[in-house]
Amino acid sequence: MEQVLKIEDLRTHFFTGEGVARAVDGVSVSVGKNRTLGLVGESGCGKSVTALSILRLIPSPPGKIVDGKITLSGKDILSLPEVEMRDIRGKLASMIFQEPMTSLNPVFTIGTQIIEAVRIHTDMGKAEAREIATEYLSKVGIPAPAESMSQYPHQLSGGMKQRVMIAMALCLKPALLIADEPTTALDVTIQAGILRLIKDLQAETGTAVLLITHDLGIIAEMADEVAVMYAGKVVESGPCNSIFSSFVHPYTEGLFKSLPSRTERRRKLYTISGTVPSALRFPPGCRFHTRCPLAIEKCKSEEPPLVDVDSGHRCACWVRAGGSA
Amino acid sequence: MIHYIVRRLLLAVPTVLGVCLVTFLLFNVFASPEAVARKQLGKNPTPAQVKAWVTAHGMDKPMFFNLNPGKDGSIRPFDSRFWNHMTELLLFRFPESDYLHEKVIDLLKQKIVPSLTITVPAFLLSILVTLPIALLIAYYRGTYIDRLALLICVILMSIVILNYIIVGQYLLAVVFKYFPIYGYDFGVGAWKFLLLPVILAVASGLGGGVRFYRTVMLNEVRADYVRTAMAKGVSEEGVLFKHVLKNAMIPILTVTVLSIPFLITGSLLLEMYFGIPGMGNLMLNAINSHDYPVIRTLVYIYSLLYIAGSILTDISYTLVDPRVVFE
Amino acid sequence: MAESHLQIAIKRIKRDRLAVSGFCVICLFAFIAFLDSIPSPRRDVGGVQWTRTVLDALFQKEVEISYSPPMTMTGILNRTEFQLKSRHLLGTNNLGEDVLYNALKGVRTAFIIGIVPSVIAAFFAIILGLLAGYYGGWVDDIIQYIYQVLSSIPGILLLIAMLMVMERGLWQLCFALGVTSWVGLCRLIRGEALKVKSMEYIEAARALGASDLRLLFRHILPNVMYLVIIEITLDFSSLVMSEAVLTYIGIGVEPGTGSWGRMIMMADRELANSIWWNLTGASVFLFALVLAFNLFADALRDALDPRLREG
Repeated sequence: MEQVLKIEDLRTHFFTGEGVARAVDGVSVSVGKNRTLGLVGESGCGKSVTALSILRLIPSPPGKIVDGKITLSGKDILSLPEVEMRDIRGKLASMIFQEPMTSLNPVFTIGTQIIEAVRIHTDMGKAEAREIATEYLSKVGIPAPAESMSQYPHQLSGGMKQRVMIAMALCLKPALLIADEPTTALDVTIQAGILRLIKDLQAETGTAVLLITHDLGIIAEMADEVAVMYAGKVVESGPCNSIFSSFVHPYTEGLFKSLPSRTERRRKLYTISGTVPSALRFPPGCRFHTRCPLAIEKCKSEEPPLVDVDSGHRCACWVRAGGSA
Repeated sequence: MIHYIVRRLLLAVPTVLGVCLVTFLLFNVFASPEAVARKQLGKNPTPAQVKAWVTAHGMDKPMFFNLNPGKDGSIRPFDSRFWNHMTELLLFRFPESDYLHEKVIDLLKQKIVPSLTITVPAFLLSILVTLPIALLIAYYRGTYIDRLALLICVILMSIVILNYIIVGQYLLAVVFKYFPIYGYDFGVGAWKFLLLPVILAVASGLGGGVRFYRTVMLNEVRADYVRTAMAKGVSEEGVLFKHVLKNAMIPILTVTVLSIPFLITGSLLLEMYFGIPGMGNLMLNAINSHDYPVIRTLVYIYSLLYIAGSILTDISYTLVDPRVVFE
Repeated sequence: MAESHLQIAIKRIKRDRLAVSGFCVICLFAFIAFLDSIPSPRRDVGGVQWTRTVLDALFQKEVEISYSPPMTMTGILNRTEFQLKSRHLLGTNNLGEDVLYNALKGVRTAFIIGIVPSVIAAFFAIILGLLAGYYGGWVDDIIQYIYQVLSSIPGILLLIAMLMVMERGLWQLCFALGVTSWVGLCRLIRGEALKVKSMEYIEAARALGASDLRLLFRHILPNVMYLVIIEITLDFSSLVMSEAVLTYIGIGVEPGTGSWGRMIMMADRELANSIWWNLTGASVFLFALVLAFNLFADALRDALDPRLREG
C-alpha cells in the first residue's frame, strides 16, 4: 500500500546557547491512506517536533532539520522551496494543535479564518469559499453554521473552537491530517466527541491521520498503528493490537503499568522511576537505560536498533529484542 | 456608547477632585505663601512688598474656612484659600498670569495652535516612519538584520534629545543652511519654520518607537494563532500584515491614543529652541518667572487632558478588539 | 546541583557580549564616581581651598581665562590668543574650565540621579503595592485612588511643580523624581502580589501560622524583587537623561554640582563660536553611560524574566 506519509531517519536539532538539543534524532514512521498512526510518549520526547518538521514549521533560528527524508504523497518535502511548501500546508497536509483557546486569531471571525484557508489554495471567489466554509462548519457539528460564521473565537467554547480548527484543517480535503494532542486541553466529556468527529471525517475522505498524544486510551480508540517515542527516538512500533496485547519495550511496559487499573487494587500507583532526560544531554547508549529496570552493561554504551519482533511489530531493546542476554 | 462615556466621566470626577487637591497641597501647604512671594519678587523684597503680594493673591486668607468678618461685616465662610482654589479650577474661572498680565485662558487660546503645528505633523510622521520599519524588522526576526537594527535602536535611544536638537539645528540650519534657524510665522508661511523641528522630533523618537513597535510585533508573532496561520499556508507577509498587525494594534493604540491629548501641550525643548510661541514656551516662561497661576492652571488642564485621553483609549479598544465590549 | 536563579541569570548575561562590555563601562564610571566621593586632604593653592575629593586631586586643573581647543597650549580671549597654564585633554570652555574635569565631575551626579530616585520610588511602590495587593478591600481602593490621581498629572508637570516649591538641589531633585515615578512599579507589584497571594504556598504558610507581615516580607516580597531590580536598572538611563534636560531648562541641580546638563547648556551658546569640544565631551560621557546601562539593563531584564526561565 502506498504510504501517504513516509518519514525516514528524521533528525531535527535545536541550536541554543546552552548546547544542541537533539529533539528528534532518527525517527522513521509512515502512515497509509485512511489509516491512523498514533505517536505516543511523555512530554519532551519529540513527538510535537516531529509533527512540526513534516510541515517545516520548526522555528528556524534555533531549530533545523539536519537530516532525513520526508515523503508526502510522493513529494520530497525537505527539498521543496518555501513557496511550494506553503502550497502544501493546509491543502496537502493540515495540522490541528493542542490549544484551541489560543490557536484561532482573536480579532477575526471564524468565517474569515476558514475562508482565508480556502482562498489561499484555490481561486474561488468569496461567495464560493463562504459556502464551503459553512458546509464544513456544519459537518463538524457547529450549530447554525451560517450565523456562526460571523462569530469571534472568544464567543465559542473550547470544544467548539477545536471543531472549527478541524473544519479549517479538512475543508480542502488534505491527504494527511496531523493532530497534535487535539483533546488534551479539553474536558473529558468533550474529548470523545472530538475524537469521534475526526474518525468520521477520516472515513468520509480517506485522510491519513497522524495522531499525537500521551494518552494510551485515545490510542486504543483511534490508532491503527502505534509508534512509541522516547528521548527523540522511536523505541517501539507496530499495529495497535499487537502493541497493546504484547508490548515488548520496557518503556512501553512502564507506560501501560502506569495506567490506573479499574479492576486491580494496588496500594501504590506505578511510576517509571526517574525523569525524562533533557534533549541537551541524552544519556549514551540506549537512552532509556537510566530508568530501565532491565538495563545491562551493553545498554549503557551502545544504542539498540529497531528490530522486528513480530510481523510489523518492531522494538529497539538489547534485552528484549536484540538477541543478547 | 453614550452611557459608557457618561459613566467614565462620572468616575473621573473623584480623580479630578483629587488632582485639584494635590495642586492645592503643593502650592499652599508644602510651600508657604511668603516663600512663593519671595521667589516671585526677585532679589530681596521688603517685608511690605511680600505682604502686599500675599494679600493680592488671596494667600493671607485662612486655609479652609473663613470665619472672619469682611470689610462690610459679612461672614463668607467659603472665602478661604482651599475653596477659592477649588472653585477656580473646577468652574474653569482661570486666573491671570502674574508675569504676563493676561488671563490664562487668553494665553491658551493664542498658544495652542503653534504647538499643534509642530506636534501633529510630528505625531503622524512618526507613526508613518516607525511602524513600517518595525514591521520590516519583524519580518527579518532572528536574523542578523534584526539584531543590528535593535542595536541601532538602542544607540539612537541613548542619545539625549538635547543632542538631537542642538546638533541638528547647528548642522542643518547654521552650517548647511537648509532650514531657517529660529522663529515662527503665523499663517501660510509657517511651514518652513516647522520642517526642522518636526524632523528632529521624529528623529529623536525613532529609536524608542521602532524598538517598542518591534517588541509588540514580536510578542504577537510568538502567539499560537500565528502558528495556525502558517500551518494553513499563509505567507510570511500575510501573517505579519494581516494577522499580527491587527492584534498588535491593541497595545499600539494604548500608547498612541493616550498621547493624542498631549499634542496640545507642545514640546518644551523644541519650542524653546526654535522660538515657537506655543504652550511649551508658555510653560517654560512660567517656570522661569515663577508664574504660579499659570503653572497651577496648566497642571489642572493637562490632567483633564490625560483623563480624556484614557477614556478615548478605552473606547478605541472596542474598535479593534472584538473581545472588548462596552459593559 | 540545581543553580540558583541568580546564577542562571549571570550565566545568561555573560553570553551577551554587548551587555558585558556595558557592564565594564558601568564599572569604570562607578569607579570614577567612587573617587569623587572620597574626601582627600586639602591642598591650598594661592589661598584657595581646592581639592575636596580624590578625583579633584587627580584631575582638577587651574582655571584658564577663556576657552581653548583640546590639547593646545594657546587659548582665545576676545579674538586674541593667550598662553595656557597647562595642557587640557579636552580643552577648556568659555569660562576657562577644563572640560575633562567638568565631565568627570558629572559622573557622580549621574549615578546619584540614576539610582536614588528609583530607590525612593521603589520604597513607595513596594510598600503600597504589597499592601494594596495583599489586603485588598478598602486599603486597595485608597491606594488605587492615590495612584490614579497621581498618574493623571503628567509627570513632567508634577515634577516641575514640586521643584518650584522646593529649593534647588541634587537631593531635592532625586526626591521629586522619585515621588513622581513610583506609580508604574506600584501597579506591577500590586499585580504580582495579587497573583502570588492566591498561590498555594502562601496558603500553606498561613496554615502553618505565619503572620501577615511575615508572609509579606519573607514570602511575597522576594518574588517581586526581580521586578524592582529590572525597573531600577531600566530607569537609570532615562533618569540621567532627564537630569540633563531639566538642568538645561533651568530646574535641575544647583550650580556648583557637576552636571552634564549644565555643560550642554553652556556648550549651546559656545557653538556659535565653533567651540565644539565642550558639547562633545559632555555628550560623549552621557552617551557612553546611558548606552552602557541600556545594553546591560536589557540583558538583565531578559535574564531575570521568569518566562524564559525554563533554561
